[in-house]
Amino acid sequence: MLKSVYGGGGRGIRIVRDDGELRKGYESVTGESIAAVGKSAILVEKFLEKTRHIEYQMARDKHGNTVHIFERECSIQRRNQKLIEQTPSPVVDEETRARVGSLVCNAADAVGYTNLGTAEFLRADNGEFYFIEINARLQVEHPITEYVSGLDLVKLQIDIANGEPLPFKQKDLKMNGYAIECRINAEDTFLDFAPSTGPVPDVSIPAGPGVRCDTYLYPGCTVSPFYDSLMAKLVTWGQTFDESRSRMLAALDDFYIQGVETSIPLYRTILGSEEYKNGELSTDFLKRHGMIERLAEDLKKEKKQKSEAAVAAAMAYSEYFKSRVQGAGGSGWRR
Amino acid sequence: MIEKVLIANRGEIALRVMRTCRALGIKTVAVYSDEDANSLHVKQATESYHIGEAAPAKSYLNQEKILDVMLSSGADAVHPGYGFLSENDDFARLCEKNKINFIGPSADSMNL
Repeated sequence: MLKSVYGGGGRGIRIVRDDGELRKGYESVTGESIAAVGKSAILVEKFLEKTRHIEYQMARDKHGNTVHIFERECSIQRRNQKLIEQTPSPVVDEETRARVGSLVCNAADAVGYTNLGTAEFLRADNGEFYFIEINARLQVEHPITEYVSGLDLVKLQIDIANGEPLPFKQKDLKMNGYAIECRINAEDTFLDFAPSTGPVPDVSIPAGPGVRCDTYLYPGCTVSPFYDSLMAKLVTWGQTFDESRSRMLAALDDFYIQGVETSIPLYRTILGSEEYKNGELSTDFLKRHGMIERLAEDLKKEKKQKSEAAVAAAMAYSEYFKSRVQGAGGSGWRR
Repeated sequence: MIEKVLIANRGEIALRVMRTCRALGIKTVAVYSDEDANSLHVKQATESYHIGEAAPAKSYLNQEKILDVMLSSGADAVHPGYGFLSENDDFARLCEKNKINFIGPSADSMNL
């Protein structure tokens, strides 16, 4: 796997399987990186199939105090671009969390890292963790960590930048509940996820217990073709995984965005699936479980139900109207 | 202590960072391209400055321009959000050189 050092959010990555693909991959990653950030440097990694993406949030202050703030599982991806994240991971137990977490802290200490960082791993099917990289930035999926830790990670970044010591120790951090994030993108699932841009005349943003939505949308705004397709991060929390998942399904239903295509319908299909419910996650989840085909079926069913409901309503109304007219006239005035 | 943060980003992450700054009583400086003149991050910041055309290379990646705004607005720190300049060690070094607190890892640890 070739990966631009300056990539992120799934951009600047190619999987190459032979020498021919290597040259092509090298050229396209270089070109993409230069277009996006004006420079290029490439990492080469071993590509593993049927893996999970599991990452650890880490924080280290300028006095050398280091903690990890648990893991996030971000296995639901498309072309290495994360779509849905959750914490805790269904395959990380207390022992693994502490063991891998302390490895991450040791690595941060060894290089004298400061501020927030994320150590990314691939977890193979046999349970082994392969280190990928440390991301030296706040991550898109940081809100799920905020939900289960009760911390404000941007405040933590500012405190560390101010030279303050971390106000807690590892043992003070307790994981509370379950959080899920869906990245609401402006794209058309059925057009190979092509960006969908333009004016958004109306929008309704979900809210409620355990529901958080970080978004730039407002009625009358525009989704620009010049930037990232991420319009909103929809995040839910629950005392149980199922409460969090149910809240997400309801929030996805409540999210109304007029004018552009979104990834919301796909997420409803994914979150409603048995595989997702059972935690059977892998980085090839969409392909492995035919999620896009299942989305098409769901939409067809929904359309049929809607038109049947419309016919039933029309029939009921016409019966009601007939009875009113007959009632008013005493005896039918028209035969 | 950080008193005024320039947010070198746009969209939902710019708003996310501003939310915490406001809660902490820290002033915020937004930057925006032609395309983003009507965006929420421009309206919600304490101060906003136009930095160029829609294409990222001419606005959100324009380090010199963003540095100019940092110096002229009196921001003492910069939050890069994610994407754009967030993992650019040249930018982190430029901030260090100009005594602007880069809210993130040092330029050297980005290079590891």
